[in-house]
Amino acid sequence: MLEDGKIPYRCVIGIIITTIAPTAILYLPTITYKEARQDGWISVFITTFVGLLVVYVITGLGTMYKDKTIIEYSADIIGKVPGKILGFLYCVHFIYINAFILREFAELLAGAFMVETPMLFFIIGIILPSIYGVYKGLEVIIRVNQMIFPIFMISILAILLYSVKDMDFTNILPIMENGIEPILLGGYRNLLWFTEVIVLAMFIPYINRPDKVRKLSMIAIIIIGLLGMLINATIVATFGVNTEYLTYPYLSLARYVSVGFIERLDSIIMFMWIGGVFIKIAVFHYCATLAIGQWLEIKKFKFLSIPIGILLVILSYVLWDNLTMVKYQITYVAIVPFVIMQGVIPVLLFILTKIKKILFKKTKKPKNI
Amino acid sequence: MRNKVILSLCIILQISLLCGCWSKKELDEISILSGIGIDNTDDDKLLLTMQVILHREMKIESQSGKRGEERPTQNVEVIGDSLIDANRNFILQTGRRGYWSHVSVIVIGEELAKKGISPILDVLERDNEIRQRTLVLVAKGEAKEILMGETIDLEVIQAYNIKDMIRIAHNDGKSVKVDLRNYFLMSSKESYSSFIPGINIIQTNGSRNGNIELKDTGIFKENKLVGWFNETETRGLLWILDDIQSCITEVNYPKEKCNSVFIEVLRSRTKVEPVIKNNTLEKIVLNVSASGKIAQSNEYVDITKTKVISEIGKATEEVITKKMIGTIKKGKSLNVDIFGFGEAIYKKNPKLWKEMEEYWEDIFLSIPVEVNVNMEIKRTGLISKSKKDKGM
Repeated sequence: MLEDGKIPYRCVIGIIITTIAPTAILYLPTITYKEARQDGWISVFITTFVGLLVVYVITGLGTMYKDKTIIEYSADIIGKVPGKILGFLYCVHFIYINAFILREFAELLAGAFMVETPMLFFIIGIILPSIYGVYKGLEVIIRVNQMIFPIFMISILAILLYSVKDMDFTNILPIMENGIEPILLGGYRNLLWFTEVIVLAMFIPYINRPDKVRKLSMIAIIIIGLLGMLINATIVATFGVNTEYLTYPYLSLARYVSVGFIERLDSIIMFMWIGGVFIKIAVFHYCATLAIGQWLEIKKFKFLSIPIGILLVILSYVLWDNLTMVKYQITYVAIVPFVIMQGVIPVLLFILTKIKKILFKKTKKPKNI
Repeated sequence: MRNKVILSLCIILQISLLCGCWSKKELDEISILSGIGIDNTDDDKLLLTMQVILHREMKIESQSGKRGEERPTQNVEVIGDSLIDANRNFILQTGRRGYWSHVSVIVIGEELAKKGISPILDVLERDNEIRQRTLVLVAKGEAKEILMGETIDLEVIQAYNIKDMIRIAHNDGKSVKVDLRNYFLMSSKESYSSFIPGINIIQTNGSRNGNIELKDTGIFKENKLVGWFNETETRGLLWILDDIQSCITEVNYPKEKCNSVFIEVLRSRTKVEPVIKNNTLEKIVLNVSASGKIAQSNEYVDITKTKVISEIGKATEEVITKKMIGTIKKGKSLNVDIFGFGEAIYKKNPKLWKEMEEYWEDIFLSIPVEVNVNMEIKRTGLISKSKKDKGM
């Protein structure tokens, strides 16, 4: 085992929510609205179940191979060489998805808050603490999250609460205007975020009670699902048809809040965004570092966080020209390999192990007799 | 020792980051705007009237405790091809960038409104400095005059005066209240029509530039001003849109006495109900349920009798119904569906709406509208019956 610390199992809820929620809250509502219109909340509802399935599968694999990560047990399941190839794909996946997250993070700050500041500044600014955090280990990231997570949740709920008086819930009518297909398509766009629980496949060996993880991560997914439904419905109730044109609907919502002297809540979004996305980036950065460390079978792998950090900065800066391109890719192009890596492959691995078990039993039984 | 050196180096490096943000905006480099007036010029350019808050004046005022002759604001007029261009030309006159985050009202000139305001709308939604809560008004005349007009000096900054006027008038059912978000939402809904409260300037003795007053409601179709609703029609519009917070309604009771009883509406709820039978739209029913109290009465009203109170209720219902029907007639004469009828049909039966969307303008003109009002008089105030004059 490469990591030395053990994580208390109760932290799993927090880390999963902050790994999925931050970018989902800011970017998803518009993406969902484009497909499912006012039924976005139903899309999120459906996707939550898929998320639960992925959690079931990943924790199932995790309890079967108690002290191994997905990089290691994939070799056990499908053989040495295919396992190595799959492990390599996961290394690439964790880096590539993190480049997206970094870019999304910097785009919001440079686009909506500090227009004159170059984006590279934000990218480097967030990757430095992330490198440090990864270097110090998983436990550090999770402890920081224990501080950020409550404030993160409170600020999200506060903005929702304050905007209640401007909502008009008749905007979410009519329900299922164009049948089920747009809703399913909207749900599919959500899948990228809900399957990000794949990070659990890297964490489970380091959690002190792996048997408790399934229940807690399911609770986390349900909380994210509820939050997503609430936010989708709220944004459609407040901005109606205009949701389609807003780049960051939740930011617009926060800017619109005015209850007595409570106005201009952009600063809360700023906090939520920097705090939440920092954890998100650090988690994926850690996963990439650990994955490469295990794939190369290096004992002291943590120094890898520095080259990976530099690679992330370059990738996130070079890969896309503008926000439109980033959004287009997460909506239509990159979503396919991401969902395959995060959702389909774990499910296949799980089914394979189950089949193996059954076959194994059948072949074993006669021998025992 | 080596660790300490590295640590102190880190701390020194951090100091260089602590001195400020990259995109900082110092107070002496910007001028804070409180209100914007937008007119068009004869050669198709935009004339922006930007009300600048002079912080120097504000400071003197708060120190000495008394107000000088001049307002702590100044209006700067700039001309440009577009909103952004005019905003940049502002620098040529003042040497500072205009800061839009504190703009509380945007007044649109009548001429520009008639020509269409679509070109300026995009910037108002796209720019990250402009708040969606900024109120929008349409001037009866030129917008720059409105910003120069006067009111009682309760609030020293003129634009904030206008904001308060709208807010309180809306609470009293005298005016509609529309901010940027409302406007964008209305103008992109099924009927593509919207309304904006009007503001007028009246010449009175003793004021240099005239006083401002809220007056009428400008009706927009596809972002073009097509007509005005007067005070009664504005009230009717508020009733139809379920936007009445509280209002005073005058009632004739007994019938021959004109405007003799006044009812203060405390609570009201309006529901727009399209009646659809056999996949065709039969009529639109507006159900209003409201409760109120007697604000002013006369000697003929014997409040001790329950029958009289219910009769007053009936009379109030008639008045409200009349207002709403009058408003709908006016709306039909302008051929704008600002009442959200199309939207109500869409929400109830989207398939039917898709069929009729193309012909909605014709259907809207011919569709019968039924108004049912249910008014309950709940309170009668501190005295029961009006005192009689001796002579009568």
